[in-house]
Amino acid sequence: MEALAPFDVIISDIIMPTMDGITFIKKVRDHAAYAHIPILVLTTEYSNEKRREGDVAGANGWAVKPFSPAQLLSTIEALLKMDISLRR
Amino acid sequence: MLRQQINTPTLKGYEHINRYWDPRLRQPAAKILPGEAYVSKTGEVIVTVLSSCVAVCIRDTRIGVGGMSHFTVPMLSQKSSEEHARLAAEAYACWAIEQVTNEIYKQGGQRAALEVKVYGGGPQLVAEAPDDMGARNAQFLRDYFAGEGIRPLEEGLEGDFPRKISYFPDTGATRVNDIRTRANDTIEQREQDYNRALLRRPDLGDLELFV
Repeated sequence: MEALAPFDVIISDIIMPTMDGITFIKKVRDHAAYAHIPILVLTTEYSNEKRREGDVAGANGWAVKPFSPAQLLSTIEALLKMDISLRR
Repeated sequence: MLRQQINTPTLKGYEHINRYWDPRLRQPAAKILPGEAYVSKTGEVIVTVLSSCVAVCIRDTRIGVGGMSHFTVPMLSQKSSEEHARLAAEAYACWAIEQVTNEIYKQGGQRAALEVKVYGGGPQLVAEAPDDMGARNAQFLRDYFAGEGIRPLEEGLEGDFPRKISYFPDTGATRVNDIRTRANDTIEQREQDYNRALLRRPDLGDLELFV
């Protein structure tokens, strides 16, 4: 994965063509430049099993669609305040 | 009419959908209700009856997997601002469409191979809902697919009658029949039940932080 301009948060789906979200999260976490960026999963996938997989892979939050914009914003705010380095 | 029920869908996760053998078409049929979606791997017809609701039919032309979602853009009566309610309603509608596309992707489909057909947005039959609900649903679909950069291959939106839509994901063919006379008010009842259920949704989102 190429290093891109710095950003504050990563929002990704889980069910995607070419590369699934769990693999994507693992790759992000393996990349030194991105290891500490919060990752929020935004998906229609609601099973607890998948959530655990996301958690283990290194995601920091899980939001099931549909959601309201206000909920999304407050979740992002909470993620930005979280010190995710403590979890690793 | 007595129908032979079929309990094993071609893909996992659709066990709750009403499926039966259609003797005339000589293949299994899946009949979806308002708020339901169904994706077929092969050899089935997907049927629904709608009025102001919309049916989005999507398939991957390369692998022949496709499905249908039957939904409405809900009229959410929330205390928050109208803008908030509109966005929340559209989030629900996007989710309804993605239930189909996500399943197609799971089966190995690709965005570039997607073929879309849209139907519905007809007359409003439910007394308590706004008259322009069908037109709003139709407009939502036009805006949604324009935003996605996808031009639907067929657009059967609005019109004066409820319709029965039959979709054959293997070939992408559809049959659309206007329902001009009805023996009962089943269509109204189902759309009404669905609208009420959407209004009752206590919370639109399910968000969890891993701490």
